[in-house]
Order: sequence, then structure tokens, then C-alpha cells
Amino acid sequence: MRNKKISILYILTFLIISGCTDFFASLDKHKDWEVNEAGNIILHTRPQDFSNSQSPDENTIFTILKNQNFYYYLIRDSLKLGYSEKVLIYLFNHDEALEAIGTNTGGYSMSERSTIYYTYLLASYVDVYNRNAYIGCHEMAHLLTHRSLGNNYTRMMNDGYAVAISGSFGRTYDEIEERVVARTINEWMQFHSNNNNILTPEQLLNEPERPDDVFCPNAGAFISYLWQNYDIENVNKLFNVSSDEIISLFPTQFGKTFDEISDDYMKYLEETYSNE
Amino acid sequence: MKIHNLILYISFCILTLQPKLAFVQEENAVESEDINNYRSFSIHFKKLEYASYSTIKPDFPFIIGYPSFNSNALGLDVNYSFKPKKLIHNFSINAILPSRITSDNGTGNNYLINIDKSSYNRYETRYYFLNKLWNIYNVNFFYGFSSSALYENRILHFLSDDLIRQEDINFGIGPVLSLNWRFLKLFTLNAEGHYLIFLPYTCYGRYSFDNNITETRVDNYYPVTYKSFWDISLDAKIFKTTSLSAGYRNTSQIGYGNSKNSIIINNIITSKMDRLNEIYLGININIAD
Repeated sequence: MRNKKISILYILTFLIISGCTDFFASLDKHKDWEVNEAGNIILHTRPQDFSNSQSPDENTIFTILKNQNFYYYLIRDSLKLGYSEKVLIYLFNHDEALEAIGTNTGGYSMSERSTIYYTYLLASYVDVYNRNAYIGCHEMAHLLTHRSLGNNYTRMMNDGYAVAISGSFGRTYDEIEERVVARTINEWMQFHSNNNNILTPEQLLNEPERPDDVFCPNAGAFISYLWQNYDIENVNKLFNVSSDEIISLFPTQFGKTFDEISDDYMKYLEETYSNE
Repeated sequence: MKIHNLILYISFCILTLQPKLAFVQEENAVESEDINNYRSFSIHFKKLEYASYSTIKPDFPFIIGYPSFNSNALGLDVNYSFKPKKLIHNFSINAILPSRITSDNGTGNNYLINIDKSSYNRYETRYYFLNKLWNIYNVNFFYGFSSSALYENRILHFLSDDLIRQEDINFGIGPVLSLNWRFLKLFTLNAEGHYLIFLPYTCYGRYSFDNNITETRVDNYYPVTYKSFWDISLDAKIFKTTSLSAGYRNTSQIGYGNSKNSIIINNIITSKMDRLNEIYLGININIAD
């Protein structure tokens, strides 16, 4: 009797476990993609009437391709990255995106496969380069930096690079122009200065758990400062290393210690963003 | 491998064996049904499809999709099993020979991979034991524990000349359930399910990247993966100690490679969302002690 119970228990456990791979990870079998290619971008969009949400039309596809090629070359050339891989973008309709990619307000990139998954948000916004953006520059920056510089990054370098090259984080409504625009690093830093939310470089390295809206603009401002004042290739050497290694690399890369550059940076912020 | 292709393939194998089987059936009509002590050796030649999918939804439960890296490969399984007393002990070596890789964007196009310079291969050794659970009519049920040492090596040479080489070695354990059904004296239908968990501290991987511009970058990673496979095969006895075997095996392996040795996701260096579909044909030699 006892053996029978053990047997049944074993089989039940086994049956539960047996479904696990599909329970952990199910295969998306949708292959309904329209593929458009221009330059280094291969854009996958849903065909018209694929779902209740609108799919991008020809004009939108053209705009996205043009913008993403612009960002691709901007990031690659200004950061001196040796990247020539084509980038695959999968643009999910708004009503399927949350279930398919886990968000319907943005997306993410996968550098190993040179791929970006993103939500088609219907409305565009004006970025800092005065372009009508649908996907923006942020994920492209992650993709190219992870692939070219490495995956063992700190949050300061990872988000700092993406925000600094975008020149912005998030969006805001411009009441004068009456349009949605990218919220620039300058606007954020002025806002954080007024609210005593300016982070020191030491805090950026040691407190990565800070909320996105505080951490990301601060990291972007610090990386922009390093790019403006030092050789960008030397800054790149800090990307794929730990927090401790970043501190120890400062003297060799920039001729100044981490503390010295931190002091310079905090003085610069004080001069630039005085409390209003 | 589509299921209807598999069914056609197995049906073809059975039909082509029919004349031989009729002859052997008569010869072995009085053979014992249940052999207690035996040794068995088998060799299987296999053809397989490998697909490594992308994680398109990175939160639990994951959703996997395109682009995928795909390969059609050939392989070999060598198995040895023996039953000295109560337990059946099984050893096997499974090899997938180096094969070319391509990519699929979901519509069948390869935008990423230089096929001629990319390759995939894997070698696995397994040991598992089975203990008899039930016997209902002619169907024997077994349970047991399985263990595996798995080595995988994948070289992705991209069209841009970027090169990603990924190799890892994994040790895992887990439960196994098996059944066999002997019918018409000559045929045995076997089904097996193995579920293996590859945990940190027993798995190690190396991920190297080279773009011919910067120096080669090497990152270590620690795979945390879960693998399940089920196998169904039909054995047909052609001589007293010899049978032919045709089967299908489906393997899924999912997980990720952390930069730190931990089961908790920290900094994911690579992810593993792999599926293998195999068909095989082989010969078994059974020796009763």
C-alpha cells in the first residue's frame, strides 16, 4: 500500500515536472511579419489588420527605417565602435506587445542576436535630433555597446551610455510647441538639482538600485561629461569592467583619480544647474 | 521534423522489415517473455534539427521566438545497459557531429550568419537506472534517476565577420520514467522521459567575442538550465539476439548563463532556449546471461 502511494506520488511529481519546459518557455509561433530593409536595418512589422491595434503604414515604416539607420551610424561613429552587423527590429502591435515581449510601453534589445523587440506606440515624439521618433535611440545604443564593448557592465556605464547618446530620457509634453518631445538630460538635471536628487559618481557606482528617473539622467549626465572632457576610446575601456576596476582604471585612462574627476564633475554640475 | 514525416518514416521502416519479421516470429515463438539478467548493446544513427530560439519575452514565463539559429546535423548514440539484479543500469554516449548553422528571422531568411564558417556540435554522456514500478498486461512501467554530462560548442560567424564562440560543460541530475510494451512477440514499443536540472557550481561556460578590430573579449558564464527530453522508439526483433530500432526524440533545454555562479539571475551573458528534434535508426544486441 505504502509503495503504491509512493509510486503515485512519484508519477504525479513527474507529470508536473514534465510540462515544465513549456511552462517556463513557450514558443511564439507567429510568423506573420512584413519585412522591410534599408541600410543596416531590417524592420519586421505586423501586416495590416493583424490585430485590433493598428499596424504601421508605409510612411511610418519609411520613417522608422530612416531614423534607425541615422541612430545606428550616429552611435557607431561617435562612440568609435567597430560594428557593421545588420540590426533586426521586431515591432509588435500595441495590443499584443505586453503578452509577447512583456511590455507595451517600449522594448529591449538582444545584442547576441543583433535584435531589438519593441512596441509600435502609434504616436511619435520629437527627439533631441529633431526627428519624429517611434522607437528612439536608447535600445540601439544598448545593442551596439553590449555587442561591441561587452556584457559585463555596471548600470552606470550601461544606462549612462544609452541616455548620453540619446541626449534624453523619457518624454514630456511641450506646451509651447504642442507636441510630445524627448525630455533632455539638461531638463532632468535641473529638475533633480531643484529636488536634491543629484547623484555623485560614487553613488552611481554603488547605488544602482535607485529609481530609473533618478538614476538614468544622472548616469547620462556623468557619461556625457566624460565624453566631452576625455578621449571617448578611454571611456569605452570602463564599459566592460566591475565598479572596483572602474575606479582603479581612472588614473591610467584619464590621468586623474576617480575622486579628482568626481570633484571636478560635481563642481561642473553646481555651476551649470544652480537651484532655481 | 514534422510529425507526419516521422510517422511515414517509421511506417516505412516497419514495412520494409516485414518479410524478415515473419520468419523470425516463427523461430522465436517459444521465447521467454521476461528476461531477468541481460546485457544489451545498441548503436543508433540519427538525423536531427537543432533550433536555438531567442528570448522575446525575458520575464517568467519566457516566450521564445525569432531570430533563431538552426542546424541540420548527423549524430550517433552508443548505449550499453545491463540488469544484474533488480535495477537496470544504462550508459549512453550521444554525439552530434559538427554541423553548419544558419539563422531564421521567422520568415525563413538569414540576415545574420555566415553559414560556411559557423558550426554547432555537442557531446553528452548519460547514466541512468530504472526500477520496475508496475506491470499492466504486457506494459512494464519503470522509474529511476538520470544524470548527464553535456558539452556544447557553438561558433557563430556573423556576416559582418564578428565571431562569437560559446562553449560550456554541464552536469545535471533528475528523474526518469520509462515504459515498454511487448507485442506480437517481435515488437517492443519503448517510451522514456528524462528531466534534468543543470545547476550552478556544476556548470561552466566560456563566451568569446572577436570582431577583428578590438582585442578578443572573453566572458565566463555559469549556465543554469533545465532540460527535458522524451524518446519513443519501436524495436523489431530480426534474430534471436538482435533487433532493429527506429525512434524519435524531442529535447528542450532552457535557461541562461549568469556572469556569477548563482541560480538567481544577475548579469545574463547568454541564454539557452534550444529545441532538438531527432529521428534515429539503429541496431540492438541483447545477450541473456
